[in-house]
Order: sequence, then C-alpha cells, then structure tokens
Amino acid sequence: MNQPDQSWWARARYARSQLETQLLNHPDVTLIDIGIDPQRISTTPVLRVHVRRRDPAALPLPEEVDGIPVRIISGDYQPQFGDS
Amino acid sequence: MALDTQTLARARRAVQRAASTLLFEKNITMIDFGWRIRAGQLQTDELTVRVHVARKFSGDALGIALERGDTPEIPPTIGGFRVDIPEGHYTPHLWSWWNWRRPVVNPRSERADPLRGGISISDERHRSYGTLGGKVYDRATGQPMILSNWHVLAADWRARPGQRIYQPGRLDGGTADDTVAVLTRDAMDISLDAAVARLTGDRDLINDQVDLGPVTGVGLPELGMQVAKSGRRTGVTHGIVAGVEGTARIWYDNLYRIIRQVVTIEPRWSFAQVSDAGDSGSFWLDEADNRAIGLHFAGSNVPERALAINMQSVLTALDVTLSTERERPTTQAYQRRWTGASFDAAVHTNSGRRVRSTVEV
Repeated sequence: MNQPDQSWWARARYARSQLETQLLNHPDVTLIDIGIDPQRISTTPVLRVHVRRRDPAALPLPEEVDGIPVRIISGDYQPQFGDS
Repeated sequence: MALDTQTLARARRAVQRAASTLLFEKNITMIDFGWRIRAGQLQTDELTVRVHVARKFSGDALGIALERGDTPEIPPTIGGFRVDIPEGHYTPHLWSWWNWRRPVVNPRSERADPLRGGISISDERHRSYGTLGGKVYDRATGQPMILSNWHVLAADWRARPGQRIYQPGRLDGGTADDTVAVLTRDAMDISLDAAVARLTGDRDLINDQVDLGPVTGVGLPELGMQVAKSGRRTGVTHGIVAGVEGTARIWYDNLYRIIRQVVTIEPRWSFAQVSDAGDSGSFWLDEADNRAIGLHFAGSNVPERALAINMQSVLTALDVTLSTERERPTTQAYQRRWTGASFDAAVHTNSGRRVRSTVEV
C-alpha cells in the first residue's frame, strides 16, 4: 500500500466530510472512513462507506470524491458490552 | 443483506443439491450459501454455494487426493451459482461430564487484585460487563483512573459523576462489595464513547494488559499496522488497521449517536475473531512496541470487524495521560489453565518481567 503525503490526507479528510454530509443520515450507512481498498484495486487508500444492507440503488453513491475512489462495504456495528 | 425471494429459492435448491451429492463424502464438513471467502476476507459482492472442506488440496496434491478418494471432485458451479471451497473443520462447543478436562474458568471474569487492563468491569446499575481498558492519570490532579467506554462506565444518559464501578462487572457476579472506582467524566458529548473513573483506593490498578504486558505510550493508528488487544470476552486477539479517521452512526439502546475518530480493525488470518460483546473498553496496542492506538467500542461478527476510537483523541478529550510505568514489585498469578494436576501460570516477577511456569497443585 502506498503511503500518501500530507496534502493527500488533507484532501481525503475534506472528501470524507463531504460524504458524511451527503450520506451519514441515510438509514443504511453505519460508518464512513478512509482505508484499504476492499476490492484491492487501488494501491492508495480509498473512501469507504460501510452499509447495513447492500443496496446501492437506494444509495446515491459517487464513484469518487475529489479524485479519491469511493467503495461500499458491508458492516453493521454494535457497542460491544456483554449482557447475556 | 436482503435477498430477493427468487434468489433465495434458487440458493436453497442449489444447497440441497450440493448436500445430497457431496455432504457425506470424505473431507466435506459443511455446505452452505454465503459470500465468497478470498484470502480470509469475505467478498461481499459475490454469493456462492460454499463447500467447506477439512483440508484444502491444490496442484499435484489435489490429483493424488482425488485418486485416493481423500476428497471428492467438486464442480465449479452448482445450480447456477459459483462454488467456493473454504477450509473449515467444525466441532461441537459442548462441555460434558465425561470430558476429562474441567471447564476453563475465565480469569478475566473474576475479582482481580491488583486491577489491570483486560478484565471484567461494569457500572452499578446494569447487569452487564465490559472491559477495564487501562490505567490513566488525571492531568489536573495526578490521580490514577480507569479508562474504558462511556457505555461501560456510564451506560445511561442519566448517569452522573459518582456512579459506582464494580470489578468484576455485574453480569460476572460483581456487587457493591466489589466497588473499585466512581465515574468521573465522559466524552460522549463530543462524539467519543469514552469515560474515566477515579479509584476508590480499595484496590491498586497497575499498568498491565493481561497476556500483553504493560502499555509503553500512545501511538497513532496507521493503515496496515498490526495490532492486538486484551479483552474480557475474547482475550488476546490480533488484527490489522484497515481504516482510520472514520465517522460512525451507532445505535445506543434507544437512539443513534455519531462517534468520531473511528479506527477500523480487521482480522489478520482466515476465520480469526477480533472481538465480541464484552470486549468494549479494551486497548488496541501496536504490536511492534505496545503503544496504545485505540479504545475498542464496537464491532460486527459478519463480516468480522472491530471499531476503536483513536487513543490520542480520547486522552485529549478526557484530559488524562496514559500510565507507562513498569510496576514493581508485584507477584500475582493472574491466569490459570487447569491441566489436571497442574496449571500454567503467567507470573509477574519482582523485576516486572513476565514469565510462564507450570505450578503443581
């Protein structure tokens, strides 16, 4: 994996905040982060939209934001306290 | 993931067909329908009929195994679905009286003295348990404190400073007699699921993570970093940092909350577990040098993935510093694994170095 420079990270953070504004209120979106490409296509990090259900038709997902690819991956997360 | 009814019906027929022809063959352990598994990771873009095998053969070994009848020939597609062949050998998770081994008592769920990271803890009001993360110091007063999650130490929107903290947690049998600390403050109002509790002085808290050793400082999570945590539920597990600087929307009992500075951790090996319910509050450490990089707070089982909060953000928000001292002198056997007439004990020596030995009983 390529380690991008500081200017790339600044751009990625801004792109992530744009995606947050667009998508974080969607009921199926659980997390938006910057990470390793789950499809292993890009050698630099990508923007990742974690979703409860994979239903891209219902999610207005751009292919990229500010030149940074956007990927969709499954993930439904709960706080992990033991109660049973 | 929602499947349409037609696909589900086709999948059921395909699994039935595969089971009728393959399930009783040598080397086949299970047949199901699910995501393709590649390099230990679930590929959530492809549904397959999965024929699980006890041992996966390839190349010349496959030819020999087929000739000998050690494994059957598996078609590339069944019922229109591609076939995936993951390796998996499954056994019942039962304990029975004729089993010569006694059930292992999890030492992390028991009363501990001194306290350390990786053991059971809870607030006084909820019948639950989470994990005592580790030792920190109040920057203003210098007092030692416990660091864990908001949902472990406060666990309620009505919780107020002074709420009692039990070790072990209530679900592990903790009562008012096991009070070790009181809730002091939390960072939930700035979207970090983290809180600290001031020690009552009944028991000492030392800088040590069960089976991982002392924390050496704070580090920044980096993509690809190899990390480990010590938690009440799943013990020591290993992972790799796959995502950073995330923003999550998490359901807390009765409302959604935004959690920021999220670090995503995935298993390093096929089928490995990274966390489960009860591990909340654990510290994720950089395996290279035991620096704490994240505070575990959430996860999912399918796909297996853990979420932590950037440790530096947590420390800054709560106005605390991590303890990095090497505690001494402490002699405490904290881990016991019954092996008939003896048990293995992990012992802290007076020099602070951890050693393993077998103790006759």
